[in-house]
Amino acid sequence: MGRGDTTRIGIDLTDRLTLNVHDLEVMVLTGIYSEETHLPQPLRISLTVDLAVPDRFDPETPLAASKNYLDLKHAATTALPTGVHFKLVEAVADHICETLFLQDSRVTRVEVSIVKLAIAEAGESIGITLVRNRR
Amino acid sequence: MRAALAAALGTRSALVFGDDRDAVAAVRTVPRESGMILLVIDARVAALDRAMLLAAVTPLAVELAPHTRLAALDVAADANCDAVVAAADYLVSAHSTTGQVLEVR
Repeated sequence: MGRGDTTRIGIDLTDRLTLNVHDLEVMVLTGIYSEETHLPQPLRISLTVDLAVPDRFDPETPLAASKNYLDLKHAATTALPTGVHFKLVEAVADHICETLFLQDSRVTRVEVSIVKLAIAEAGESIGITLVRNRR
Repeated sequence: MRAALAAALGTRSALVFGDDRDAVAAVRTVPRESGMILLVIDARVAALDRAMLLAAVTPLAVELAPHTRLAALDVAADANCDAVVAAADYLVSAHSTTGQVLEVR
Protein backbone atom coordinates (compact mmCIF):
# COMPACT_ATOMS: atom_id res chain seq x y z
CA MET A 1 0.00 0.00 0.00
CA GLY A 2 1.56 3.30 -1.08
CA ARG A 3 1.37 6.74 0.41
CA GLY A 4 -1.18 7.74 -2.19
CA ASP A 5 -3.74 5.31 -0.78
CA THR A 6 -6.21 7.17 1.32
CA THR A 7 -8.36 4.55 2.95
CA ARG A 8 -7.94 1.18 4.55
CA ILE A 9 -10.77 -0.41 6.43
CA GLY A 10 -12.48 2.95 6.53
CA ILE A 11 -9.55 4.74 8.17
CA ASP A 12 -8.36 7.98 6.59
CA LEU A 13 -4.67 7.48 5.81
CA THR A 14 -4.11 10.76 4.00
CA ASP A 15 -0.78 12.30 4.99
CA ARG A 16 -0.99 15.91 5.96
CA LEU A 17 1.02 18.64 7.57
CA THR A 18 -0.87 20.85 9.99
CA LEU A 19 0.34 24.35 10.80
CA ASN A 20 -1.02 26.13 13.84
CA VAL A 21 -1.09 29.82 14.58
CA HIS A 22 -3.28 30.45 17.58
CA ASP A 23 -4.46 33.33 19.76
CA LEU A 24 -3.82 36.29 17.51
CA GLU A 25 -5.61 39.33 18.90
CA VAL A 26 -6.86 41.47 16.05
CA MET A 27 -9.06 44.57 15.89
CA VAL A 28 -11.72 44.12 13.20
CA LEU A 29 -14.77 46.08 12.07
CA THR A 30 -17.44 43.47 12.64
CA GLY A 31 -20.84 42.96 14.17
CA ILE A 32 -23.44 45.27 15.57
CA TYR A 33 -20.90 46.93 17.86
CA SER A 34 -18.79 48.14 14.94
CA GLU A 35 -21.86 49.01 12.90
CA GLU A 36 -23.14 51.32 15.62
CA THR A 37 -19.85 52.78 16.82
CA HIS A 38 -17.73 52.58 13.63
CA LEU A 39 -15.00 51.21 15.86
CA PRO A 40 -13.25 47.86 15.47
CA GLN A 41 -13.74 45.21 18.11
CA PRO A 42 -11.14 42.80 19.43
CA LEU A 43 -11.17 39.23 18.17
CA ARG A 44 -8.96 36.33 19.15
CA ILE A 45 -8.26 34.36 15.98
CA SER A 46 -6.71 30.91 15.75
CA LEU A 47 -5.78 29.13 12.53
CA THR A 48 -5.23 25.45 11.89
CA VAL A 49 -4.13 24.86 8.31
CA ASP A 50 -3.59 21.51 6.59
CA LEU A 51 -1.13 21.26 3.71
CA ALA A 52 -0.39 18.56 1.19
CA VAL A 53 2.98 17.12 2.08
CA PRO A 54 5.88 15.62 0.14
CA ASP A 55 6.71 11.96 0.67
CA ARG A 56 9.43 12.80 3.12
CA PHE A 57 11.11 15.68 4.93
CA ASP A 58 14.84 15.14 5.32
CA PRO A 59 17.49 17.39 6.87
CA GLU A 60 18.17 19.07 3.53
CA THR A 61 14.56 19.68 2.61
CA PRO A 62 14.34 23.38 1.67
CA LEU A 63 12.22 25.87 3.56
CA ALA A 64 9.88 26.15 0.61
CA ALA A 65 8.68 22.59 1.25
CA SER A 66 6.68 23.92 4.17
CA LYS A 67 4.73 27.13 4.61
CA ASN A 68 5.87 30.28 6.29
CA TYR A 69 3.96 30.73 9.54
CA LEU A 70 3.93 34.46 8.85
CA ASP A 71 1.71 33.86 5.82
CA LEU A 72 -0.89 32.47 8.21
CA LYS A 73 -0.44 35.33 10.61
CA HIS A 74 -0.75 37.88 7.81
CA ALA A 75 -3.93 36.22 6.52
CA ALA A 76 -5.55 36.87 9.89
CA THR A 77 -4.11 40.33 10.47
CA THR A 78 -2.75 42.56 7.72
CA ALA A 79 -4.70 40.79 4.96
CA LEU A 80 -7.97 41.83 6.55
CA PRO A 81 -8.95 44.91 4.57
CA THR A 82 -9.11 48.11 6.54
CA GLY A 83 -12.33 50.03 6.25
CA VAL A 84 -14.44 46.99 5.40
CA HIS A 85 -17.19 46.13 7.87
CA PHE A 86 -17.94 42.44 8.18
CA LYS A 87 -21.47 42.01 9.47
CA LEU A 88 -20.66 38.51 10.68
CA VAL A 89 -17.47 37.10 12.14
CA GLU A 90 -18.20 34.14 9.88
CA ALA A 91 -17.34 36.46 6.96
CA VAL A 92 -14.06 37.36 8.62
CA ALA A 93 -13.28 33.66 8.91
CA ASP A 94 -14.22 33.03 5.28
CA HIS A 95 -11.99 35.86 4.10
CA ILE A 96 -9.08 34.29 5.96
CA CYS A 97 -9.83 30.88 4.44
CA GLU A 98 -10.07 32.28 0.92
CA THR A 99 -6.83 34.24 1.37
CA LEU A 100 -4.96 31.09 2.33
CA PHE A 101 -6.49 28.93 -0.40
CA LEU A 102 -5.72 31.58 -3.01
CA GLN A 103 -2.07 32.12 -2.10
CA ASP A 104 -0.96 28.51 -1.77
CA SER A 105 -2.28 25.58 -3.79
CA ARG A 106 -0.94 23.14 -1.19
CA VAL A 107 -3.44 24.34 1.41
CA THR A 108 -6.16 21.69 1.60
CA ARG A 109 -8.12 22.67 4.69
CA VAL A 110 -8.43 25.74 6.87
CA GLU A 111 -9.99 25.89 10.31
CA VAL A 112 -10.56 29.35 11.75
CA SER A 113 -11.72 29.90 15.30
CA ILE A 114 -12.77 33.36 16.35
CA VAL A 115 -13.53 34.47 19.90
CA LYS A 116 -15.33 37.78 20.36
CA LEU A 117 -13.41 39.16 23.30
CA ALA A 118 -15.61 42.17 23.92
CA ILE A 119 -18.73 40.22 24.83
CA ALA A 120 -17.21 38.00 27.51
CA GLU A 121 -18.53 38.81 30.98
CA ALA A 122 -16.40 36.51 33.11
CA GLY A 123 -13.57 35.34 30.90
CA GLU A 124 -15.67 32.91 28.89
CA SER A 125 -14.85 32.32 25.22
CA ILE A 126 -17.73 33.07 22.87
CA GLY A 127 -17.28 32.67 19.17
CA ILE A 128 -17.28 30.44 16.13
CA THR A 129 -15.19 27.87 14.31
CA LEU A 130 -15.37 27.69 10.52
CA VAL A 131 -13.84 24.83 8.56
CA ARG A 132 -13.36 25.05 4.79
CA ASN A 133 -11.90 22.38 2.54
CA ARG A 134 -10.44 23.05 -0.88
CA ARG A 135 -12.94 21.88 -3.50
CA MET B 1 -1.68 53.60 -17.60
CA ARG B 2 -1.79 50.04 -18.91
CA ALA B 3 -0.51 51.02 -22.33
CA ALA B 4 2.20 53.19 -20.80
CA LEU B 5 3.38 50.32 -18.61
CA ALA B 6 3.40 47.88 -21.51
CA ALA B 7 5.37 50.33 -23.65
CA ALA B 8 7.88 51.12 -20.90
CA LEU B 9 8.59 47.56 -19.87
CA GLY B 10 8.52 45.90 -23.28
CA THR B 11 9.78 42.35 -22.98
CA ARG B 12 11.57 42.95 -19.66
CA SER B 13 8.57 41.78 -17.66
CA ALA B 14 5.26 40.01 -18.04
CA LEU B 15 2.39 42.22 -16.92
CA VAL B 16 -0.64 40.94 -15.04
CA PHE B 17 -3.39 43.40 -14.22
CA GLY B 18 -5.12 42.37 -11.03
CA ASP B 19 -8.74 43.19 -11.62
CA ASP B 20 -9.87 40.62 -9.04
CA ARG B 21 -8.60 37.60 -7.14
CA ASP B 22 -8.40 35.58 -10.38
CA ALA B 23 -5.17 37.45 -11.08
CA VAL B 24 -3.38 34.95 -8.84
CA ALA B 25 -4.26 32.17 -11.28
CA ALA B 26 -3.12 34.42 -14.13
CA VAL B 27 0.26 34.92 -12.45
CA ARG B 28 0.66 31.17 -12.12
CA THR B 29 0.02 30.66 -15.84
CA VAL B 30 2.61 33.18 -17.06
CA PRO B 31 5.38 31.27 -18.85
CA ARG B 32 8.28 30.83 -16.42
CA GLU B 33 10.86 31.84 -19.00
CA SER B 34 9.60 35.41 -18.71
CA GLY B 35 11.83 35.76 -15.63
CA MET B 36 9.85 38.65 -14.19
CA ILE B 37 6.17 39.22 -13.51
CA LEU B 38 4.70 42.54 -12.46
CA LEU B 39 1.27 42.41 -10.87
CA VAL B 40 -0.56 45.71 -11.10
CA ILE B 41 -3.40 46.21 -8.62
CA ASP B 42 -5.30 49.36 -9.41
CA ALA B 43 -7.83 51.30 -7.41
CA ARG B 44 -10.86 49.70 -9.05
CA VAL B 45 -10.21 46.35 -7.41
CA ALA B 46 -12.75 45.57 -4.68
CA ALA B 47 -11.38 45.83 -1.13
CA LEU B 48 -11.63 42.12 -0.33
CA ASP B 49 -9.96 41.07 -3.57
CA ARG B 50 -7.29 43.76 -3.15
CA ALA B 51 -6.46 42.46 0.32
CA MET B 52 -6.23 38.89 -0.97
CA LEU B 53 -4.03 39.87 -3.91
CA LEU B 54 -1.64 41.81 -1.71
CA ALA B 55 -1.46 38.93 0.76
CA ALA B 56 -0.67 36.52 -2.08
CA VAL B 57 2.38 38.37 -3.39
CA THR B 58 4.95 37.06 -0.92
CA PRO B 59 3.86 33.39 -1.02
CA LEU B 60 3.63 33.55 -4.81
CA ALA B 61 7.13 34.99 -5.02
CA VAL B 62 8.42 32.06 -3.00
CA GLU B 63 6.51 29.66 -5.23
CA LEU B 64 7.99 31.19 -8.40
CA ALA B 65 11.56 31.57 -7.13
CA PRO B 66 14.34 31.29 -8.08
CA HIS B 67 13.68 31.37 -11.82
CA THR B 68 10.99 34.00 -11.85
CA ARG B 69 10.69 37.20 -9.84
CA LEU B 70 7.37 38.69 -8.85
CA ALA B 71 6.62 42.23 -7.78
CA ALA B 72 3.41 44.21 -7.38
CA LEU B 73 2.25 47.78 -7.69
CA ASP B 74 -0.60 48.93 -5.47
CA VAL B 75 -1.89 51.92 -7.41
CA ALA B 76 -4.21 54.58 -6.04
CA ALA B 77 -6.99 56.10 -8.13
CA ASP B 78 -5.27 59.45 -8.57
CA ALA B 79 -1.75 58.12 -9.01
CA ASN B 80 0.38 59.89 -11.58
CA CYS B 81 1.00 57.70 -14.61
CA ASP B 82 4.68 58.68 -14.81
CA ALA B 83 5.13 57.71 -11.16
CA VAL B 84 3.53 54.33 -11.81
CA VAL B 85 5.86 53.70 -14.74
CA ALA B 86 8.89 54.81 -12.70
CA ALA B 87 7.95 52.44 -9.87
CA ALA B 88 7.45 49.60 -12.35
CA ASP B 89 10.81 50.33 -13.95
CA TYR B 90 12.51 50.19 -10.56
CA LEU B 91 10.93 46.87 -9.62
CA VAL B 92 11.79 45.29 -12.96
CA SER B 93 15.35 46.60 -12.84
CA ALA B 94 16.03 45.56 -9.23
CA HIS B 95 17.20 42.07 -10.05
CA SER B 96 17.90 41.07 -6.46
CA THR B 97 14.36 41.67 -5.27
CA THR B 98 11.22 39.56 -5.37
CA GLY B 99 7.93 39.63 -3.53
CA GLN B 100 8.02 43.40 -3.12
CA VAL B 101 4.96 45.63 -3.21
CA LEU B 102 5.24 49.34 -3.94
CA GLU B 103 2.34 51.62 -3.18
CA VAL B 104 1.93 54.49 -5.63
CA ARG B 105 -0.27 57.20 -4.15
